Amino acid sequence: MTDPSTEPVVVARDLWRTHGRGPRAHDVLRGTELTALPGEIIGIVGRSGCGKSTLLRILAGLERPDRGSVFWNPGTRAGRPAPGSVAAVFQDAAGSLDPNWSIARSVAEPLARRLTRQARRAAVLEALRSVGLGDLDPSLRPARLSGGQCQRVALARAFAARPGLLLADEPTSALDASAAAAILRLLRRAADSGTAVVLVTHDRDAAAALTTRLLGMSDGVLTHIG
Amino acid sequence: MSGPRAGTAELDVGGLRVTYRNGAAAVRGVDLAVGAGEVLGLVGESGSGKSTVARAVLGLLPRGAAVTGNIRVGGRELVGADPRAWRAVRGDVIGYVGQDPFAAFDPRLKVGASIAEAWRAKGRTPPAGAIPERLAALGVPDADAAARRRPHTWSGGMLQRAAIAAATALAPTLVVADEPTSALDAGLADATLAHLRATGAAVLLITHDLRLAARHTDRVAVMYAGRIVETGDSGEALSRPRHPYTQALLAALPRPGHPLPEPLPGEPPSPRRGADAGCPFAPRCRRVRAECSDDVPAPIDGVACVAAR
Repeated sequence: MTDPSTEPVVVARDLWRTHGRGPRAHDVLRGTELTALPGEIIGIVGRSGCGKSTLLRILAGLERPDRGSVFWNPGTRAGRPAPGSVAAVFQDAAGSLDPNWSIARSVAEPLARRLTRQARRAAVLEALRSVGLGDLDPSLRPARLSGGQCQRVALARAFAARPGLLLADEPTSALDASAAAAILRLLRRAADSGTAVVLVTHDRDAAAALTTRLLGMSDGVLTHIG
Repeated sequence: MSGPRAGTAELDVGGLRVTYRNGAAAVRGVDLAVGAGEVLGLVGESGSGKSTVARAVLGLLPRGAAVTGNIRVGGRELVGADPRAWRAVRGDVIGYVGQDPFAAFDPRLKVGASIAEAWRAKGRTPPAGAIPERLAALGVPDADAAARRRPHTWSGGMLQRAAIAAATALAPTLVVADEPTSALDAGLADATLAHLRATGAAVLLITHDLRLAARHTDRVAVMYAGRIVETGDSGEALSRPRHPYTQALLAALPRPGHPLPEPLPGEPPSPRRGADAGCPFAPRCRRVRAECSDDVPAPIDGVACVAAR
C-alpha cells in the first residue's frame, strides 16, 4: 500500500451513532464500516431514516460518531479532514448556495485565499466551464437559475478545490431526466480524475449505471449488494 | 384515445396563457382535461411551465400575473374570478398537495389540529373521529395518537399522507399535486401516490419523474417551453414516445448495464423570450428540418411536431 493512488481517501471504522435521548433514542449507525479509494464511485441505497445522511455528515466531518473513528487522507491531527479535501452536494442545490451571493462568489469560496484576483477569476470560469455553464453570467444570483443549473454550480464549487472525496446526497432526485444525466456524467468525470465519490440515492437505476460498488444500508449497517 | 369524454372533465383548461409581471411568458397556450377519477401527469424539464399551470389552476399566481384562456373546474369558469370565489373553491372543490409536507404543517400545532383547519376555514367542524379515521385509511399507524403529535415527530412519508388527508378532507373533485413525492424515497413515493389515487378525485400530478409518471398516471401531458408537446395514455406515450423531446427525455434516463445517458444538448429557451416564430424545441432537436422554423407546430393526434407526422 505504498502506491499513493491506492491509499484510501477515507476509512470509517465501526461507527456508532445514537439520535435522541431516553425512550425515543435509536441507533442510527450500528458498527458501520466504509473504505473509499481514489476514483471509486460508491453508491449507498436504503430507505429514508436508515442512517445514510448521518453517515455522509460524519464522512464530511460535520458530525462526530459516538463511537468508532474516521481517518481522512490527508487528515489533520484533530481527526478532521484537511480543509478543501472533502466536498459535498445535496438534493436541494439552491439551498446549498447562498442566495445573496453571486455564482462567481459561491464557486470561488473554497479556493485557496492566496490566489491572485486574476487567478481566482480564471479558476471560477474554468470550474463553470467544466460543468457546462461556460456561457452563464457569473454575476447572477442562484434564484435566476434552474434546479439543474444550481446543482451544476454546486458541483463547480465542489470541484473548484479539487477534493479527494466528494459526497453527494440525492443530487439528482429533484432534477428532470436531462439535468440528472448531466450531473451523473459530472460525477463520473470527477471519479475519472481520481476523486472518490460517495453517492447516496434512492434511484437504483442511476446507482447501478454509475457506481463501481453498490452498498445497501439498513438498520445502521452497510452491506454489499452489487 | 387521449382525453376524457366531452362534458365529463373535472378540470378543463383551454388556451391557457400566463405571463408574469416581469414579462416571463411561462405558459403559452395550454389545453388539458382531467376526467373524474383520472390521474393526469404533467411532466417536463424545470422551467417548462408545469408548476405555473398548477398555480393557475389553484388561483395562487403572484400578483400582476396576466392569465387568459379558460380554467373550468366542475364546469365553473375560474379565469377572472375574484379572490373570494377562489377561496370558496379551494378546499371544497380543489385540493392541493405540495412538495414539502413539513412546510405545509404549522410546527406549533398538532397534526390533527392542522387537518381540522380544512373544515374550520369553511366555518365547519370536523365530524367526530373523522381525522384519525382518514389518517388510518391512508396507512398512518396508530392514527389516534399520531394526530395528537406535532409534525416534527412525524416522518416525511407519513406527514405527506397527512397532507393528503387535509387536501381531501372536504372531498374535493380535483386534487392538484405539485411534486408531492420528491422529498420521499421510492417505496414511500409509490405508496403515497397509490393513496392519492384511491381518494377517487381527479388528480393533476405535476412531476419531473418520468418513471413515477409511468407507474401512477393514466395519461401524461409533456410540457416544453410553455406548451404541451405530446399527450397520450401513459403506457403508450412513455414507452413509444412520438415527439423528439419526449424521446430525448426518456433516453436521458439511466439504465443498469448501459453507458451513462446523454443529457439533452443546450438549455430550454428562456420564458422571457418573445413570441415563438417556429418550434421552440428545434435548436435542441435531432430531427430538426427546414419547416420547423416556419410555425409553432399545432398538436395533431396528440403530438405537436412536423417531423413526427
